[in-house]
Amino acid sequence: MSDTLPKDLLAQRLPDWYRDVSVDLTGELVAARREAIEALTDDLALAQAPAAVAYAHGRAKEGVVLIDAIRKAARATDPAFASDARNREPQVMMACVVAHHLATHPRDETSTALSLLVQCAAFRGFRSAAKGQDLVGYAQSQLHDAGESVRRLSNRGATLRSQHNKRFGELAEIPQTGGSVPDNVVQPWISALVEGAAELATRVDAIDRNFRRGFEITAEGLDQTAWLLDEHCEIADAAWADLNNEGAALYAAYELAALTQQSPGPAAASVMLQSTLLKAGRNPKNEIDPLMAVTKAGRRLGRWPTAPPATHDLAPLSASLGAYRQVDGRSGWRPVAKETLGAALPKATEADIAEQGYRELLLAAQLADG
Amino acid sequence: MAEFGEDQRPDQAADGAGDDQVPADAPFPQYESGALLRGPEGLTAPEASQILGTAPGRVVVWAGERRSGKTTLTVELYERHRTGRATTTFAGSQTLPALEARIHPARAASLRLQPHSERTELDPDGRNLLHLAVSQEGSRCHLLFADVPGEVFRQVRDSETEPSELPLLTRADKLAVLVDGELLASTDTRSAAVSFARQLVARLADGGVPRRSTQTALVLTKADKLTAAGGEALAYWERKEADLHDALRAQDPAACVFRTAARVLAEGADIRDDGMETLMNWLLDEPTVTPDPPAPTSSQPADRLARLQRPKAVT
Repeated sequence: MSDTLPKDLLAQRLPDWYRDVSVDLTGELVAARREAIEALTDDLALAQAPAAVAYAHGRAKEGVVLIDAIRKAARATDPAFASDARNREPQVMMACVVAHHLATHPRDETSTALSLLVQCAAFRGFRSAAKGQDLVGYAQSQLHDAGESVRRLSNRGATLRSQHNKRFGELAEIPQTGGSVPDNVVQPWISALVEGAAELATRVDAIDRNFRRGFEITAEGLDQTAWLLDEHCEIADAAWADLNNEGAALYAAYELAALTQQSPGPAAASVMLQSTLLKAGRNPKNEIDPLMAVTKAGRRLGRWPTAPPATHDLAPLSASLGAYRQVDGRSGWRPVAKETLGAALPKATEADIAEQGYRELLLAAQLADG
Repeated sequence: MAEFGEDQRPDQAADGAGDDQVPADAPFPQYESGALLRGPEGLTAPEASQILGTAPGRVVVWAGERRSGKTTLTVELYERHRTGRATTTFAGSQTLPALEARIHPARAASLRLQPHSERTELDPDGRNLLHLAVSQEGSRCHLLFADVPGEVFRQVRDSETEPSELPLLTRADKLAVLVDGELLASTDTRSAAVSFARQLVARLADGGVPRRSTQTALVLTKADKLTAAGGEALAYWERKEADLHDALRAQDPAACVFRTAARVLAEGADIRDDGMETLMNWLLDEPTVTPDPPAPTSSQPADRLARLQRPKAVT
């Protein structure tokens, strides 16, 4: 399976991404920063993903935990590098790190987390610190590649029969003399038999893994299809048709996330969420205040994770649910949510709210496991 | 410090490196003056990069022949901010001595009978950028003016120098081709002035300048001199201005035209008519961004589910 994003994305685009924060007349500055960005990419850990993406979108406060590593990487080739977390240049560097990671580690779980977080940033209206950079597009490509990869069984290699024929075909025949057979004739056969047995065991293990994985993939697909056909909403314990309110988006997100075994979710997740909204009599394109969805659904979503990193800037629905829960849904929770998020959330379509909720739940599970 | 509002000393890394040189009981912050105020030199490209790394900025190149007003435009924009005549606010400069050295001959304090700008020489150390930070509605913008002598542009016009040998031209966010209004005012010199500009634009285009990320303009300098020459001179320029504008627009469809009189000497002249505010607004306009090409997409299997609008109930 070929990767969608080019491996040399950074080399191609860095001069344009870096133009706004440099006067590089010789190409040396960009070359030095490229080395730093590559080093930062290799060292980026899953736990740093929320801070990295937030900082890459200009959230300067997130730079506090990253700036030391950025300085260290940059000073390896430019000892005069002197930016602090508030400056634009390290934010642009981090945006380049995210893009480079997606392109060079397309099936890595950290890349999946980065892509989901980039989509979360887009939901909040944040833009990449690197002007002109299409991080959202890169994230979509990576998620598609990764989603297909986790749901694809590994290709079968050469058959055991063909390897058996190859291994034994070159061995000299054991003479049918009835007497003793020389060691130099017997030994290769014994070695070949031992290798063959080991290979057989390896192949059996692989079949077992593939079978289990295939079962999980199939079970996930069946569960999601059954959910799609079901008229009953488990979390609300009511028919979807009776949940014709703004909370339907979060119910749909929660239930689909519970049925998603692998991150990222299937490519059809957005369609499934929209379909469920229709089941609930909602218009997926209707724009609402996301906090209204929280108001309507908050009481029934007690198991939605709201602990950090769910309270992060890029998990606004989880953070809002946390604020709702903090005051037990009483009036006054909205200012708490706004203070947590730093700004009011813009209106969004019910489909977008459902997708955002789904993303936040997948991320919470991934970051908790990581 | 030469740049207002910053907590950071230019000689000190943001992580506090160098703090151990300041006595703990010093009553006032101790600054090394040599690091704060440079000599009468511009900035190098790496120094300019450090500035752009902190806040948005623009690299500005005035392209024109000798004495067309390149340095005058830069220092007069500075002077307007220094004296509070501009609508934007002065927010500092890391090349104050350089700007002062260039504006001083034009001031009355220089005791010259006529305002004067010294001839620009190319700095051998690459210190070719003059810095002016301005603030507008709370946002700071760093203007980095390339201080390039007219002789260099003559060499470009005459194909003695390739545009590619002047990387500031390809890096420019704003590139303005200047035409000297004082030369246009005379029938003896107007044709050569227009010809220089036309040939310069053509040579730059041959060399791939401007790039897509560069915004261009045609700027008439010393417009007061042209106006004073009368209607025939103005009519001549209007015809030629349209031709030059078309030539620029062939490379940059959004190319603008400005008429400026940076040093209006006529008494009673309304300072707002000198075109400098309009020029400043153009400089502060957002630079052009080269967007990424669309990210490649794979076929979306979800499209096959688009027809799934209302699932059937399980009975």
